[in-house]
Amino acid sequence: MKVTVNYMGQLKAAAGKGSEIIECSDDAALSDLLAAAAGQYGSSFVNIIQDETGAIRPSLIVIINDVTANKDASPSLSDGDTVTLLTAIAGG
Amino acid sequence: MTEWTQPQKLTDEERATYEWQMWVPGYGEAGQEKLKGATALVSRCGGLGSPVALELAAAGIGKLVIAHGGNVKHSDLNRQLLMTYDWLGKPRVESAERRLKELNPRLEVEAVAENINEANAAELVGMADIVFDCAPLFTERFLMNRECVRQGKPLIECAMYSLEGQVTTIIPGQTPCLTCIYPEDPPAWKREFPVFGAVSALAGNIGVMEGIKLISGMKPALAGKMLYYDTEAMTFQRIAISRNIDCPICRDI
Ligand SMILES: [Zn+2]
Repeated sequence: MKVTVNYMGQLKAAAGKGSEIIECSDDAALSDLLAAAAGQYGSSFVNIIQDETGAIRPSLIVIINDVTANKDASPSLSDGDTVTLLTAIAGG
Repeated sequence: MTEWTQPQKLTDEERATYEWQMWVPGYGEAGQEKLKGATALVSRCGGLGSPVALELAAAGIGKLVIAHGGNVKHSDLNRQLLMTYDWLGKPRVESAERRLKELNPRLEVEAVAENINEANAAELVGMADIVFDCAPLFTERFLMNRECVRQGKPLIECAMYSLEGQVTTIIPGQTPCLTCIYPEDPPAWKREFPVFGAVSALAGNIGVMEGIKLISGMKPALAGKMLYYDTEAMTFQRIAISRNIDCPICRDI
C-alpha cells in the first residue's frame, strides 16, 4: 500500500523535502512506516524520530489523516493514509 | 469561563482609543475593562515576544511584565520589532520598554533584564494573570509551564521554526500542559534556528488573540488543540491534543 508522509519542522530540513509517498506492506503499522522513513535518511533525521533504543521519541507528534495518533500503540495503516510528523519547535 | 482579572473602568481617552475594537461582538467595553485590569508576562521579547507585547500594548492591556536578557545585536533586527537600530549594544529590555511606551504611554511596564530561569520563574509568573511563552529554549518554556501549572495561570504557547509555527493555549487542569505535549527536552532543538520575522509575528499574533479572548471572557479556540501552520504551502491545521495522565507536571491537578 501507499502512504503519504508529510515532514514538518526540522524533519523537513533533514529529509530535504516536505512530503513523499512511502510504499509499505499491506499489514504495515505506524512503527513500520517510521522505520522505513528512517532507513532512507541520515542520523539528523533518525535522531528526531527515534531514541537510542529505536523507540519513537516522546516529543514527536504523529497525525494520521488529521487525527493525533497514539504513537505508542503503533496503529495499523491503510492504503491512501496521510501521516504528518510534527517536531517540537521553540523558535521566536 | 473563569474570570482571570479584575476589570478596570475606562477613561474617555481610552474609550476613544479602543472604540473600534470594542465593536467586536462578544468583546465590547466589558472586555476592554477586563483587558485594562490584566497583567501579562511576555518572555522573551524576540521575534515572537516583540509583536506579542506590541499588540497587547496597542490593544490596551493594563500591565506588561517583559523579561529578556542581553543587549541588542544586529541579528535581532530582522524580527525583534521592539529592538531599534539606535539601541544596538544597549539592553534589549530598555529598547522594548521605550517602544511600548511610545505606543501606549498609559501602559505599566515592569522590565526585567533577565531571561526566565530557575531563580526568577516563580516570581515572574506570580506577577501575571496570564503568560505568553515566547522563549527560544525548551528549558525556559518548561520552567514557565511548571510555574503556570503550580499557580493555575493560563499559558499561551507560541513557537516557530523556519517557515512554520505552532500555537496552543494551556489552561492548567483543563488542557494538556507543555510537558504532556513534549515529555522530554527535544534533543533536535538548537539555540539558533532559521527565522523570518513575519513567521514569528504570525504565531505571536495568533497567541495574542487567544490571550485577549481568555482575558475578556470570550472562548479560546486552541485550548486542548494545537494550530500548526506552514507559510511555504500556506496551510493551517488544528489538531486535538490530549493530557498525559502520567504527566509529572500536571497529573495531580
Ligand atoms: Zn502535563
